[in-house]
Amino acid sequence: MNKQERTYTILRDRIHSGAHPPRARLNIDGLARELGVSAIPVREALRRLEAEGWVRFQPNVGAIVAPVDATTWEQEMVAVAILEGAATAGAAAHLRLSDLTKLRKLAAEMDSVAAEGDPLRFSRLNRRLHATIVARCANAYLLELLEQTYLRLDRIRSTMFAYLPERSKAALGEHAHLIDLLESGDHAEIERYARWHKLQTVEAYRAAHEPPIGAADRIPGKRR
Amino acid sequence: MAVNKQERTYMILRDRIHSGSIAPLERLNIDALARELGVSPIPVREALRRLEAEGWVRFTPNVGAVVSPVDSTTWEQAMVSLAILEGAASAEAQQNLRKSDLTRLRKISAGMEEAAARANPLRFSQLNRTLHATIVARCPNAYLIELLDQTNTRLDRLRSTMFVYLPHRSEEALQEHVRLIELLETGSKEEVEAYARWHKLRTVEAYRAIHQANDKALAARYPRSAMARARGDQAVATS
Repeated sequence: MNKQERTYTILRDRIHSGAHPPRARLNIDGLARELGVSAIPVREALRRLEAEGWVRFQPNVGAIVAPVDATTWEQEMVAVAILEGAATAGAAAHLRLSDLTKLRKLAAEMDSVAAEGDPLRFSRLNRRLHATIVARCANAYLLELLEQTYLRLDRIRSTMFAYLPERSKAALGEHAHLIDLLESGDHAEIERYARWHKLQTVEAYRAAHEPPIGAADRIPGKRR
Repeated sequence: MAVNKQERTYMILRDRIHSGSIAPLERLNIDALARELGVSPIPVREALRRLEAEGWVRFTPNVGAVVSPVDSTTWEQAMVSLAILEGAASAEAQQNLRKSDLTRLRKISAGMEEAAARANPLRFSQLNRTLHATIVARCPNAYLIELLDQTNTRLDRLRSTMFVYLPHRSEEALQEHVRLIELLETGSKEEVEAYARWHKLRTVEAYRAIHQANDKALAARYPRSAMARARGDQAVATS
């Protein structure tokens, strides 16, 4: 891998994982020194990331990590919750014993990864767990819509998950319950729970980013 | 602006297929149509090629042009997806509905009763689409609405209206709309979602119920197609 590619990959992974959070400034000289390269590959990498929507160049400020469009993210997450809830219930009848074994294995892997604090890996395992379930749903069109929505979310989702460590912990318990439900629950309950589980991430984000009640009164004119 | 012969021929044939007056798998005899419409076979053939490009007509060997069969599997899957999305979007829209929206919904509902009484399935279908669009327009989740539009477009390509094949469904749908509007006014969010979804799924159920009867009739007319379908040969069954 050449210098330019390596620089791009490192910066992209840092932004994806949240090491450089949304709105954080990306100091070209500082990064160049740190990565042992000149400013040129850093600047090129940032331009590439800008073209992909991850970085923005602001006047007087320089390069920043693109802010998350929270509204779009929320709307897409709600859509996932609705679609995945239905697809999970649709899959329940067709899950085999080997699928359930695989699911419990994935859930166990997520337990250990959560302890290590590797948000990217955690996120990928999470995706795999839910993909394993919905793969058994017979409605191909429903799955097409779900896949499309995940593609839209890919831009922001992995960054979001990195910011909600409490959420990661709670999700582990919810996965265990979901797998139990899949084994022996009714379809309506499965859909309700699968949807609720997905919506919890939206709730956690809102809780983490809403100003506390009364903050607006204490600091007049300041808005998040 | 006068519509030329080619355009007119296309529109007539398209409307006949959309309305169901020429049924799926029915043959389209180019010469007979040309004679009937008072044109040469050329605009008829061109119109059929256009309709083929749009998925409504298929040119099959030894038979010629036939109306494309409904790909019922894809249709069903899209309808179920629509039921899920529209249920959720209707529930989200409920809190934003105004009195004027409810008045409008009741008006559309009345228009649908008239269309049913006059046996105008195309108009019935259009108004049905408008009724549900009026509700979900108040859903604050723009992405959910985008998914709904996408699914409706997909359904349009598969079959513009199922009411032609499901006469009893029209009657039931009218009653269900009245109930849905009631729930939008005074029901809970969960009730709205559950009922809106169930309402859409009823059409799928009605189709499945008569699908078996249709399959038998088609098998009698086109035994080769039926055998292929029995073998699970998707290439024949799908457009």
